Amino acid sequence: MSAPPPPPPLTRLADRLGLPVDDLAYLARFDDARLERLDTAVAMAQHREDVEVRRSMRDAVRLVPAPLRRRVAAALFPQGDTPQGDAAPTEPPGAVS
Amino acid sequence: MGEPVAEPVVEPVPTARPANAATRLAARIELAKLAHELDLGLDEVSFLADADPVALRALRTDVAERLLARHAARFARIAHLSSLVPVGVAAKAAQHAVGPLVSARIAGSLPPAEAVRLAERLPPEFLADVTLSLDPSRVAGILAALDLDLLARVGRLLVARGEHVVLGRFVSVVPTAAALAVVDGAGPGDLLRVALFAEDRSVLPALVARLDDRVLVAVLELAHADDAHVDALTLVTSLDPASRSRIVGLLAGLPEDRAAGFLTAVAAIDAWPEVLPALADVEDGALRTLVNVPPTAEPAVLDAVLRTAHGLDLAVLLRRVLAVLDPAHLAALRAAPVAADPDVRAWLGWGVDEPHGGA
Repeated sequence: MSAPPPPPPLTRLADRLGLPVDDLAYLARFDDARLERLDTAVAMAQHREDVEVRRSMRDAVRLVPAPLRRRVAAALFPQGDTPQGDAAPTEPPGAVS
Repeated sequence: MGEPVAEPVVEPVPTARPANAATRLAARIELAKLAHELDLGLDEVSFLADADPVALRALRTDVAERLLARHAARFARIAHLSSLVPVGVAAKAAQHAVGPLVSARIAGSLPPAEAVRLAERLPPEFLADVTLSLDPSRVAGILAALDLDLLARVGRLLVARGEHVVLGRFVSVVPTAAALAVVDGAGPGDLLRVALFAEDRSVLPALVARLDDRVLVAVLELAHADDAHVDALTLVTSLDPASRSRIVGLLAGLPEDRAAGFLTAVAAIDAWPEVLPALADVEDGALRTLVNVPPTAEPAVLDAVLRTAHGLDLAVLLRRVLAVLDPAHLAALRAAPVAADPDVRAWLGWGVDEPHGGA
C-alpha cells in the first residue's frame, strides 16, 4: 500500500503556524511552488529557534554550580520536557512531511 | 546605508494586479520585515516580492507569534529561574549561556523592574544583539523605565549596524527624547530607512518637528541622488500638514530637478491630496519653481491636480498656481480633460470661452 500523498503546502504551512488553513486565505493566490518555498523558510526559522533554545537551556544549566545543577535542571526541564525539546519537532529545512 | 529600500527581484504572479509605486514600496518594506523575522536575506524571500503588503504583514505577525508560542512555557521557566538568582548572576548567565535570542524571548516574561536591573548590568553591544529579536509590544514597560542614555547607546549601535528594520520597530515605542538621541548624527539614509520601517508612523511628525532643516534637506538630497523619491514622499504623506508644508518649502529652495523628481513621485502614487494643500504656505517665487517642472507639463498630471484641487476646494491655491504657470504648462492644462468640466470651470470662475480663466 502506497503512502498517502503529502498535504498541500498551504495546509502544511498552516499546521506549522498552528492556524486553521482559512486563516491563511491571504496566501491562497500563490502557487504551490511558492508556498513550498515559504513553508521551507518558516520551517528553517523554527528549526533555528529550536536549536538555539536547546543550546541556551543546556548552557544555562551548565553555568549553575554543581550542587544546585540538579534542582535547576528539574525546574527548567519538568517531567516530559528535555533539553532536546518538547515542542513538536521541526523537520529539517527542505523536508516534506 | 544611503540606498533606498532594496528592490528584490520580482517573480511575477500571473494573477497579480498591477501595483502602483506606493503599493510596491509598502510590499518591499513588509518583505524586509518578514525576512528579518525569518532571519533570512531579502533575496531568500524575493519570491513574495509582488505579494499584497497587507498579506505580508499578516504573515509576519503569524510567524512571529508562532515562533514565540512554541517555546513560551520554557521562556517563562527561564524567566522564573532568573528572578531567583542575584541580578549579577542572571546577567552573566544571559550573556554567556542564554544568549541574545532567548534573552529577547524571555524579556517579555520578566517583571519590568527586574528586566531593567538586568539590562543595566549588560553591555550595550549585547543589548543591541538582544534587541534584534525583541518584540517591542511585549517590552514597552521595560523600555519606558530604561535609562535614556542606555537606550540611545543601544540605538546608535543598531544604526551603525544598519539595523533599520529593528530601529523602525522601536521608534514608536521608545520615548521621543531617546529616539532623537539615536538619530542625532545618523546619516540621511539611516533616517529615511528607519522612518520607512517605522511600525507606527504616527510618531514621525513629533520627531520631524524636532529635526533641523539641514537634516531634512539632506534626506531630500539623498532621496534625489538615490532615485528614492517615492520613499521620501511616502514619509511626507505620513506627516502632519505643518510638517508637509515645511518639507515642500525646503524642496522649493533646492535645485529644480529635486522638485521634478518629487512631483514625478507624487503623480506616480497620486499623492496630490496630501501634497497640494502643503503648497498653500509656499510663497509665489517658490511656487513658480515647484510647479513649472517637466512632470507637471503632462495633461494627465494636471488633470489629477485640478480634480484634487476641486475635490478639496483649494480654489485660492489653484488661482495662485495658474498665475505662475508658464505658457507650456498652461497649454497642457488646457488639454486636461477636467478643464472642460462645467462644474470645475464655474468653481474657478472661468468663463465658458476662456481656456484657462485668463491667467
